[in-house]
Amino acid sequence: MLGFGRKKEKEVRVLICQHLENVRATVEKMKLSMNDYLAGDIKNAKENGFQAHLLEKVADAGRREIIEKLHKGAFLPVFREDLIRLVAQQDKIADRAESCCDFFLTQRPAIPKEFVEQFKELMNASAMTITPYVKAIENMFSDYAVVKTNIREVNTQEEKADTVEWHLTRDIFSSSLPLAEKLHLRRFISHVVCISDVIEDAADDLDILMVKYQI
Amino acid sequence: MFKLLPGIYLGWGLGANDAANVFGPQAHSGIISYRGAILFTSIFIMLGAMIGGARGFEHIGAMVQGLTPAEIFIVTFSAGVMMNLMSFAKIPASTSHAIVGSMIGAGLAAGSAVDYSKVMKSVYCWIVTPIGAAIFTVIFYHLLSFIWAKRIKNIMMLNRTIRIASIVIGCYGAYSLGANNLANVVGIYVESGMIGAFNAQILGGLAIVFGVVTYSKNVMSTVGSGITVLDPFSALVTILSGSLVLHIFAQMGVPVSSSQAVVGAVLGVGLVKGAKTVSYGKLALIFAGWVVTLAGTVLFSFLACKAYTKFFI
Repeated sequence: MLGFGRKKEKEVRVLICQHLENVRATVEKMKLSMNDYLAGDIKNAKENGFQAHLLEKVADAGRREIIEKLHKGAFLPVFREDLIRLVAQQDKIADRAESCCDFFLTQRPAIPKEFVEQFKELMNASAMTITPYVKAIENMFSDYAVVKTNIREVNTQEEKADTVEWHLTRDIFSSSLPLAEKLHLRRFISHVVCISDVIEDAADDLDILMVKYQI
Repeated sequence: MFKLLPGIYLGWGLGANDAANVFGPQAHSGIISYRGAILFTSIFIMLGAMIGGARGFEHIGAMVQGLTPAEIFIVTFSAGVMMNLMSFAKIPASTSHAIVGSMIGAGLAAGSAVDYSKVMKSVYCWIVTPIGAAIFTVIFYHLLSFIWAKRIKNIMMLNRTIRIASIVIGCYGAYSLGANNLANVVGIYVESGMIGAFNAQILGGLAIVFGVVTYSKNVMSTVGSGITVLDPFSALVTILSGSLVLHIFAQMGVPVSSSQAVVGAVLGVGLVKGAKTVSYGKLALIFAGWVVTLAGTVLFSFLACKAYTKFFI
């Protein structure tokens, strides 16, 4: 009746961290897959893309398990809604990483050699955003004081990805490529930066929660 | 026993309505189940009634001297009916106001001596109740938020602290409610010698608990939804401040209204946060509740006593 529920809350904490680890691994596999693709190694790109797809499925299952645990009474109702929204936002990161893989593995956009390095830089900048986000979530469960710093790091990293995106887009559209190819590459860029955008959205949601939980 | 029935009826109404002021937000927001809230409220109201409830007997019972058992029956019955009418009209009312009003009405009708110094003491305490609760809220809010910010390091700790504090404060509120409001229910019977103090504590306590067990769930939901628009910390401070005011007046032996204590405390949160927590309309309604309950019970009890004297004596 009292149900102080420490055990349930600890289980949810573990599950959220596991879910986040699966999301991070999905992004990592997407990065490997894209690296292979940019290097022209389609076979390995496909293999890593497939791994990203599997990890995204595991993350999905993890999200459902978290929701189930919360429905069974872990955490006070006032926190449950917030945590469900946070995990759903986290899950979107894996979705975007998977859809990015799907894009270049199914549509196979042709990347001119002069843009390969810039695409790598964009991919790294976008994928790197997840590192401070992971730290922010871990600190939400251990020390509020650091979360704000982690969120700021997410914002800084996302801005870096935006800057690379801007330069790459400008270079592509000022090149002599046919318009169709330019537009195709632009769509590829959008898929890559979408990952850092979604991570930033998740970090913004976390920021709101921190404000809400402070008196 | 028959003559004590209106007191039991009044106690039932008090339990049904006022339990919400101490455990409504916790139960409504799922911190504790309704069954758990009802159990804790019942235990701690009974404890309050047994340990600190007798202090108010003298104040209430000696307010009007020389009432007959039949007139005492009318006094408690009038108060009970008025409380039900006010609840039906959805106007917040206080059992303390109702019982004091009824006693004045009966005293005037019977030509008994009304101790106006006790009446005025009650009125002062009624005025001080919401103001005191608001002041305590401002103090507690600043004090506890400082400690809270220092101590609460993460969401796990926050979750656990809110859960434990809600239950502890709710239990304290229930204790204060039992200690403060018991005299409203049985004080008049004790001072007139119709029942012994110990038996009155048991009977009155059980009557309030009966109201909590049978009817408080719906009221908890309604009151809880009103208070839980506040964040959990503010809701806790609100209940703590309201309960402390009730406890202080219980120690002084003057029954006051738990609803008005909570309203004052909610206003206090508004003062701290610079937000409008209670509308002017609601304040006007509460003030109207004071006036209507008091005037209504004076009139009702006066007319009932006059009718009794005319037709039965």
